[in-house]
Amino acid sequence: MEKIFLNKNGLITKNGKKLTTSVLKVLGNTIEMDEAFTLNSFFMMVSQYPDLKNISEILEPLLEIFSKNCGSGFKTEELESLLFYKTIEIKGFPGSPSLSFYTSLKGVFSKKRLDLKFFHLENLLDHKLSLGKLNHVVFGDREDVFQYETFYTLFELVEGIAWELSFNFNPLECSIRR
Amino acid sequence: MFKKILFATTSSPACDAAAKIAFELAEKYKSELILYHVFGVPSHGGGFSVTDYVTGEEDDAGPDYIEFVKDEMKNTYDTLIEKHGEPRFEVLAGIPATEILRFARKEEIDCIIMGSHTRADETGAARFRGIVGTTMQKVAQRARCPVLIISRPCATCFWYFNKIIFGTDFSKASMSAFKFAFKMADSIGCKLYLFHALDIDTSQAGVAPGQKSIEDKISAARARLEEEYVSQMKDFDNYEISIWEGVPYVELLKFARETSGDLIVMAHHTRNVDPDEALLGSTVEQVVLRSACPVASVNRPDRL
Repeated sequence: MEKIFLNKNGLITKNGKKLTTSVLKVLGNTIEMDEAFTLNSFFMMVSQYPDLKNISEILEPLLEIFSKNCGSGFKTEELESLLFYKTIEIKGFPGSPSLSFYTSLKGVFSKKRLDLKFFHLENLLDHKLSLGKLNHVVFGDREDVFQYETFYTLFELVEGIAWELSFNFNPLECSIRR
Repeated sequence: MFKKILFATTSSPACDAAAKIAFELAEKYKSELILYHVFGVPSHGGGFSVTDYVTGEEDDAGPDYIEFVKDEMKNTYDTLIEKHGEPRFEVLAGIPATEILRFARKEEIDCIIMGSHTRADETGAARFRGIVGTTMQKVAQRARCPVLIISRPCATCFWYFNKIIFGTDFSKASMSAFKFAFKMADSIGCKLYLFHALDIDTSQAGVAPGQKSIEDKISAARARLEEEYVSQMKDFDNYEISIWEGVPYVELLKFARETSGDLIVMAHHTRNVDPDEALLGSTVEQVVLRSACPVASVNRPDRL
């Protein structure tokens, strides 16, 4: 499968060369990310390739927050890094048996995955972002999750991160309240 | 403000945030708090059966089962009971949404408080499970009183409650939502934001409107907000009108973040829909799912 590389500065390269075609043509390409790729890099990429903004209506307001805070260098000490991964979940009960497939963005601290929705986006921007393995949850058993190597497309990354960060419109005062 | 508050709970950790607000709200407004839990399904024999949540197997439950569930609820909320006093416990077998609505009507409940989900789902999974078809949606859609939906823990929202955001689409049900929002703001003495999002995407059937057209629509929306809502507020002047352009739920989330709103009040359907026919509209659904502060869904004026 064709692969593209996401650089730390947000630039997309293919076979070592800067992308010259429309970014829409590589949405289905698998991605590999710079080891130093951060959430900042993600928003720099979306800014450089404006077509990506149209993937989700939530990206524009997220970019507004990013543009006000990029380069601030501040990151929460409650997290070490960010992890983007896929999950396949088979459910037998309650309800009808079903199979769900979704992506998640979590914070990582001491090898534990933490929910991000209580963090402010401003505090996540400088954290490194990496791609994780596919998690296979069978019949609700979250203790013994199977993990497999997998791949991610550019579309999955952009749309998945937009969805996850759409839960982060927390007023800045909220952390004080808690 | 509220004589009777019904906290409909699954007694699971997913309802913890809602429980805290229910207890605090009841203490603050000196309301009677009723903790209501519905489980199992009545059987034809006059008894009832319960379904194990993990295995899915049905089992007959004896007459002591209700007392057992009440004790479990008391244990679950013992910290809150110790702090705020013991509420009334009601436990019943049946279909949750039907029984909650029936009980709320019978007891003339002034406000129903619920969590948005029965399980603490991952946000990634939430997009597929959503909230459509859930007990919360059915209750919010049909309740005659305001339904306060809590999806996130918030330690002090109702004690230091000072900013209420009323989001309107100018529907008939929005008037009921306004009455509730204004009544709360007036009785608490806090600020009321009258907010309307101009949905540019749907306003011109796919044709992007020009700046002049947008400005005209904003002026028209402002005039309508003043005519329909401000005119009813008499001497109350602690309000602000805001009209933003964009996708309504996105703009409402942005606005709530910017103003640090404590409560969002909305009618729960799209425009010009009979309240009985209304489904939880996409805007409310999206806001409930993501909002950092509680969302009050008001559909009818009956219990305002």
